[in-house]
Amino acid sequence: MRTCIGGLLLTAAALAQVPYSRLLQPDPESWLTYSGNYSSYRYSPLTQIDSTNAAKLRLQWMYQSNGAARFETSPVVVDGVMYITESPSDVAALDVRSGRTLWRYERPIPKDLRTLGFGRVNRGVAVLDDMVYVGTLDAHLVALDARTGAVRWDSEVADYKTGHCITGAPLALRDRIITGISGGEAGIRGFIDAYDAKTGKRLWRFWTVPGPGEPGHETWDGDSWKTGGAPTWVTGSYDPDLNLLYWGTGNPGPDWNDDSRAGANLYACSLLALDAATGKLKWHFQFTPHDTHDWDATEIPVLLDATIRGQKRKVVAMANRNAFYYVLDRASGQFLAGAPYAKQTWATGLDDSGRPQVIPGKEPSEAGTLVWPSLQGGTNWFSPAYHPGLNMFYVSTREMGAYYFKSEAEYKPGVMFAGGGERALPADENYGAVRALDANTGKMKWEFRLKSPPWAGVLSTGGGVVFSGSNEGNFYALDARSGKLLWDIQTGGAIMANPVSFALDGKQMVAIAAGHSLLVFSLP
Amino acid sequence: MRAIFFLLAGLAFAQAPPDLEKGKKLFVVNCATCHGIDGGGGAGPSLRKPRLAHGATKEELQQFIASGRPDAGMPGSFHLGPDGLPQVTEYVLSLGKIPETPLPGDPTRGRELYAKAGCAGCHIVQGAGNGIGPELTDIGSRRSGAALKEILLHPESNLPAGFVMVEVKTPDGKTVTGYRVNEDTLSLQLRDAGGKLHSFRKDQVAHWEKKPGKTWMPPYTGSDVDDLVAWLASQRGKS
Repeated sequence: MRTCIGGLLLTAAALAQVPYSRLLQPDPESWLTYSGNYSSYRYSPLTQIDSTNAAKLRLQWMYQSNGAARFETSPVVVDGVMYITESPSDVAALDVRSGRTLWRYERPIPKDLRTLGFGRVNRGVAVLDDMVYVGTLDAHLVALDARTGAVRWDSEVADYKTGHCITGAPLALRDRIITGISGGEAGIRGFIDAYDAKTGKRLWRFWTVPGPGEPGHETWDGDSWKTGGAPTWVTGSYDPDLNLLYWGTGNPGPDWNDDSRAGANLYACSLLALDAATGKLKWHFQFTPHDTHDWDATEIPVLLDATIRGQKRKVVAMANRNAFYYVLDRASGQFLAGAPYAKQTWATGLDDSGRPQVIPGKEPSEAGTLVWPSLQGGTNWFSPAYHPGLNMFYVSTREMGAYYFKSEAEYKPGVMFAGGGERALPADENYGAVRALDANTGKMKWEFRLKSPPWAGVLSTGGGVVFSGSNEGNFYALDARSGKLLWDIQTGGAIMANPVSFALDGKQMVAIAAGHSLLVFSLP
Repeated sequence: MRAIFFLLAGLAFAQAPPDLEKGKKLFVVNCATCHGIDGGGGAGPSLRKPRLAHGATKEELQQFIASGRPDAGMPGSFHLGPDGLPQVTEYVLSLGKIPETPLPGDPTRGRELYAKAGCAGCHIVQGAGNGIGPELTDIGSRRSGAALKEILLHPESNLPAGFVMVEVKTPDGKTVTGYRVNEDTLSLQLRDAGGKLHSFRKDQVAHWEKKPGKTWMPPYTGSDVDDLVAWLASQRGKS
C-alpha cells in the first residue's frame, strides 16, 4: 500500500511539466509564456530557419477555430502540446505533430454580457506546473488541468455586469498567477491582481486609480477616480532578480471628455513597477499625463540591457501608443531616452524627465480635431519583438490620423462611458510598417511598409528572421538586419495576432493565427 | 407586485422620447458629411425614405449605426454611446417622414439618354450592360438625385470610397492602367478598360502608382442631365 501511494506521488510530480525554474530559463523548443520569456522579447533563439532558407517555408498543418470573433491568440507550446485560446474564452490543446485536438475547454458566456469598446477575444493562456490558466470574458480566472482541460479552480476576478472582462493572457510567476482587467470604456476602476496558483485565492490587488488617502488620489477631480478606468488588459513583464512586475495601464475614463477629471489622472497611461510579493508600487512612469486620446500604455514593456551614454543599463523599453518610444531605468523608473517612432502632431517632444511637451488645441472637440496618431495609436496591444544579438526593437507601426470628437459622458454601470470617438482619415491616406528601432535610442534602422495600419505582432528569431502579418492576410518573413522580404504567403484572412516559434523533433516551426485559422510553418 | 410596478415604472422612464434636436446635432457632426446636412444624401444614400435598407426595426437601425459598414465606407458610431445612439436613430427615422424632394427631370426621356450615351458599355442595370463600372440597379436608393447629378457632371471629383485607378509599368516596358479590384502589401489586382484582369506582385513590376481622382467615366455634357438623373434615381433595386 505504502509503495502504491509513493508511486502515485511520483506520477504526480512527473506531471509538473512546467516548474517555475523552466519559466526562468525557457528551452528554445518551447514557448512557455505569452511573450516567450519574462523579459517579453518575443524572440526565439532557434536558428534553423534563417535568411538563406526562409524562402522555402511551407505549411505543416492548420487548425480551424470555432470562435466567431477575431482570432487573436498567441499560442503557448510545451513539450509537443500547443495551448491556444479562441473567442469568446475557450481553450484548446493541440498535438503539435499532427494539429489534432487533444481537449477543449468551452466556457459558457452569460447572455447579457456586453464587451464595451473591444471584441469578444482572448489572447492566450499561462502555464505553471501541471496547470493551464485562462482569463475569461466574464472576468473569471480559471485553472485547467494541463492533461485533460478539467477545471481545477475558477475564481471571480470582478463583476462582468459592470463592464469588467479579461481578454489578455495571465502571467505565471513562482507560485502565483497575475492578471489584468479590461473595461476602460465602461468606467471601471482598474487593477492588477495576483492569485495563488494552487488554490485560486486572491493574494493581492493593486488599484491603478488610487483611493482616498493614497498617493496620486489628488490627481483626480471629485469622485472621478471611482470611474477612472486605467485598465490593465495586456500581459506585462517580470524581472526575477528585482522581483518586480512591469505592467502598463490604459486610458483614464471617460476617454475623450475630460470635463470631470481635471489633473494628471494617475496611474492611467502609465507603466507600473510592482513588488510581485506584495503588489506594492515600487515606481510609476506616466507617458501621457491627463490623456484625452485613448492612448493606453498597455503595450508590451520589454526588459533589456541597453547602452545609454556609454553605460550598460538594465532598462525597460516601450513603444507607446502615443507614438513615442521610451527607455526607462528598470530599478528606478528614471527616464533615460525617448523619441517618436511614428508620425505624431500632439507634442513638440519629450523634456529631460520624459514628460511630453504638449501642443495646445489638440484635445477632442465637438467639431472634430485632427491628430496623429489615431486613437488606435502608433502601435497597440500586438507585441513588438526584441533581438538581443542585434539590439533591435521591432514594432508594428500604424501611420494613421483621425478626427477626435468630444461628446457628453454620463456614468451608468455596464454601459459605454467614453464621451466621444474618432473618425479616421480615408483608408488610402493611411499605411503601416514594421520598423526596426535601435533599442538604445528608438532611432529607426529600417522599415518594411504595409498597405494599411497593422494589427499583427512581430516575432524575431536567432536565425535573423522577423515574422509578422498584415490586415490583408499576408504572413511574411523579413531579414532582421535589413528588413528585406525573404518569404510571404497569402493566408486568406486578416492577421490580428502574434507569431510564436518552437521546435518538434529538431524541426523549427512558426505559428500564426490568420482569419479563423491557425497556421504552422516549417522548412521541408 | 410592488416589484413589478417599480419595474414597469423604470421601463417607462427609460423609454422617455429622445430629444430630436440632440439627435439632429449628433447627425450633423457624425453623419451629414456623407448623408447630407438634411439627410437627403450625398456620397452616402438619402435617408429621407420611409423604409431604410439596413433598419427594418428601430433596434436594427441603432445597431447598424453603431457598427457601421466599414467595407462600404461607413464608419461605426459606437462612440455616440447609450444616450447618443437612440437620439440619432430617432432623428434618422424622423427623416423618413419628410417627403423626398421631387426631381425636375423626365425619367422616360432619361432612359433613352442612358442608352444613347452608351452608359451600358460600363454599367449593369437589371442584369443588362457591361460590368466595368459599378452596378446601377439600385443606385437610386444609394445616392440622392442631387448627388447623382454631381457625379454625372463631375465624375472625377465624386468617386466612390475606395475607388482608385492604378498605372503599372511592367519590366518589359508596357503600361497597364486599370481600376483597383484589390490590393495587399505585396500584390495588386487591376481590371483594365476591356474588363481584363491583371494581377501583379508589387516587387516584380518596374513601377506602379495610384491615380487619385482619375476615372474612365466621361463627364455628361448634355443640357438634359436632369432627365438622366430622374431615371437613375428611379432605379431602386431588382424589379
